[in-house]
Amino acid sequence: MIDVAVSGLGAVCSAASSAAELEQALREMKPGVKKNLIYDHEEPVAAGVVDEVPAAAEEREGAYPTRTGLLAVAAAREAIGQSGLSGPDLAAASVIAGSSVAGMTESERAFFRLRSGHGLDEEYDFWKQHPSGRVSDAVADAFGLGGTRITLSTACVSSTQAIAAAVYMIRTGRADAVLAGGSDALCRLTWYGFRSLKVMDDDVSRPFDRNRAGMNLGEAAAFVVLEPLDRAKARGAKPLALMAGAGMTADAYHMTAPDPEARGAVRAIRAALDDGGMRKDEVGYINAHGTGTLQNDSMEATAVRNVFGENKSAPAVSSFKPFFGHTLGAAGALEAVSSILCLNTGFLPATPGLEEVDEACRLNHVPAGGVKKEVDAALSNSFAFGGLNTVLAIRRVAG
Amino acid sequence: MTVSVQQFSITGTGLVTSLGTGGAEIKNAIERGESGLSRLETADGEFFAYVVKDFREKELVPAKIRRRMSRVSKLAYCAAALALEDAGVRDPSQMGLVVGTGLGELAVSREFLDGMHERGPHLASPALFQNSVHNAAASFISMGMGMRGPATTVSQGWISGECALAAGELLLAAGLCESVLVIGVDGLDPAWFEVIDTGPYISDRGLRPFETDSAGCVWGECAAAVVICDADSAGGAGVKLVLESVLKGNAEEAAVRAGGRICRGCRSVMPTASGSQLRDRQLESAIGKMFAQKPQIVLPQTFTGASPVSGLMFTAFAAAGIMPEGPDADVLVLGLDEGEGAAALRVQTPKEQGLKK
Repeated sequence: MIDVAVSGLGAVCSAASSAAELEQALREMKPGVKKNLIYDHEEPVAAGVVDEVPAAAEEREGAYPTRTGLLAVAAAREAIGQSGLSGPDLAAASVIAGSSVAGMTESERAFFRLRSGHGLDEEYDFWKQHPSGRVSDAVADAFGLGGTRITLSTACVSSTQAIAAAVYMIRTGRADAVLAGGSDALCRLTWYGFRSLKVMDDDVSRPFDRNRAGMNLGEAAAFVVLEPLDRAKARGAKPLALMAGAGMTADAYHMTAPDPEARGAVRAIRAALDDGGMRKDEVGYINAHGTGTLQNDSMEATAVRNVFGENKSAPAVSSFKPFFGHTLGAAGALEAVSSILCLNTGFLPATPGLEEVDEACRLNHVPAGGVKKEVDAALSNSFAFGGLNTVLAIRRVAG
Repeated sequence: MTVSVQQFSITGTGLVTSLGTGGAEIKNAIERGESGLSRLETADGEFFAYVVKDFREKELVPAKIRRRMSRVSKLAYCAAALALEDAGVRDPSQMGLVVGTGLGELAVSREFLDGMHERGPHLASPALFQNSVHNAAASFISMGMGMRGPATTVSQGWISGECALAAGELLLAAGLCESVLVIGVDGLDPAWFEVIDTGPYISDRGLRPFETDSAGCVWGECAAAVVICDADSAGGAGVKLVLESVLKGNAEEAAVRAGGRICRGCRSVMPTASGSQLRDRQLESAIGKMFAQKPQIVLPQTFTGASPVSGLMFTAFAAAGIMPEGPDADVLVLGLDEGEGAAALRVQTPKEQGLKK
């Protein structure tokens, strides 16, 4: 089987404007989630807002950029730059993007203008901004990627599935290089939607804590460049990690609530281990989905305990959601990028805000302050509305 | 660069269109010369579109989930149930599941935003929000049918159906499952017409692709589902698929490259022309460049309207022997996106029998 290498990383989120900055933010355990006056709130509430969304490198007539698209292009630019992909290799590369929101930020603005009796904004074009497919188009157009472009829209596992699909494309010879990841901007629909479900914490979230009170939303984009390991080495690129495998399952249980017995999540973790040729005892770290909601965190802990048992040799676990918020369609890719940074620095940050572990969430949590630990293999978990479970298996590249 | 030619087999189809539900009903309606065009009256005026009316939802969708589902999810569910039945699948629990949709739950999102506008954002509806995600249809299908295998939702503009087939084929090729249920679905929400601002949905003449006096794109609701498995499965319709994109060019060039790889010997073409003058002109030109002799042009959209998942619907039409009619069909389905992408599918149906049951 073809080994799939990660040769480039890119990220933009509230905690950092690049993957390089994110590495520092994680090492210093400096969160990007802050209390902001946002939308119609009269008091500040916690959110992972990107203060400055990088502008497009060139303004093209009729381009109609979106906030989600601009975030995606910025993260993709860093990943491509690090990979060194250029010329015909870049022109032949494919892009698989994940996005849950896509152009909704712009569409809802247009919609509310109309409902308030104003005409359509000249800056708005439905077909060029709203459809999810425009996220991968934006990235492909910005960098001249002439390969396949596909956008997956599966809520909070969108970009995790994008990376999984890219691995399958490379393994089956359908692509030589794939830019895979995801992007989502904040919008009112998701903001007030999650509030209507009463799963948001106005303070910074505390995943796995017994006093946790919900999640924080954030916005972000993250991409990785994937290619066959041999090919990366042959063109002189430095493999940053191996994307060893993935597991994808569905709960078939409930639209929003996870299966409390975690059967789907367990199967996804086992499938990722199997697909990645990874033994349980090799896994030293799990980057948890860890949203901070009561149901998700206890379900996820159940799944991890079920697969790895409850002992000191079980993998260390932490959630980075308090660093950058739950970034929905970008979350899986952002956390995969973060996991690779942790493998390569040998430092595992703790879950910010975790002070008193909930009995239902007992795991080998990374201790407060983080820990220095050489880890060779890690998992990155993602779960989503509709009972979707996707887990990535990642290996450190020796040397 | 292209996705190299991928092959798979179709062993079952399920269709819900404005002409009816199920292949036989749709075929009969076409033979009677019926059209699914309907007049819609909204606060913004009068529109015409191809609207699905009765689609056997009470028969095909379990009551326990039906009341929570959006219209788009119900359309998709019905097509999925018909395809599984047609393929003779009794236990879909380990199958892959892929839904393609251009615009997803647009009507649900609009209802949610309307609620926010009218009652204030803090009284937004949780029931609408959870149904607003693109993968809502896949989730209800997964729950209702007990599908626990890999599941995803693809959205890629006007070639969303074709890209869903590509994703389904990828699940097969990667060895994640032995068969995949692939569904394409898009609904209609007239309340968005003003936001979409495409204007000419006002003709009662219906969709007239390639005609010089075409009144423009006329939307058609539909759900189409196919069960796919590896190409060696005997008895199913054989399908070849190419996805293509070009750089700084146009979608016509992509269409020529995609179709050119697999079109030799095809007797007919089903272009996903929508009535949009630019797209139709590009498709017409691409077909002219691919074929020395003009092939038979088959246009189901004149009965059903245009949809971002037309490519998948046409594939199901061909596999089920609806259009082109009967067995032994050899047809090229050609799709274009608004951007610089195109997709081509070649559907070859068995000479004597219908699809494998």
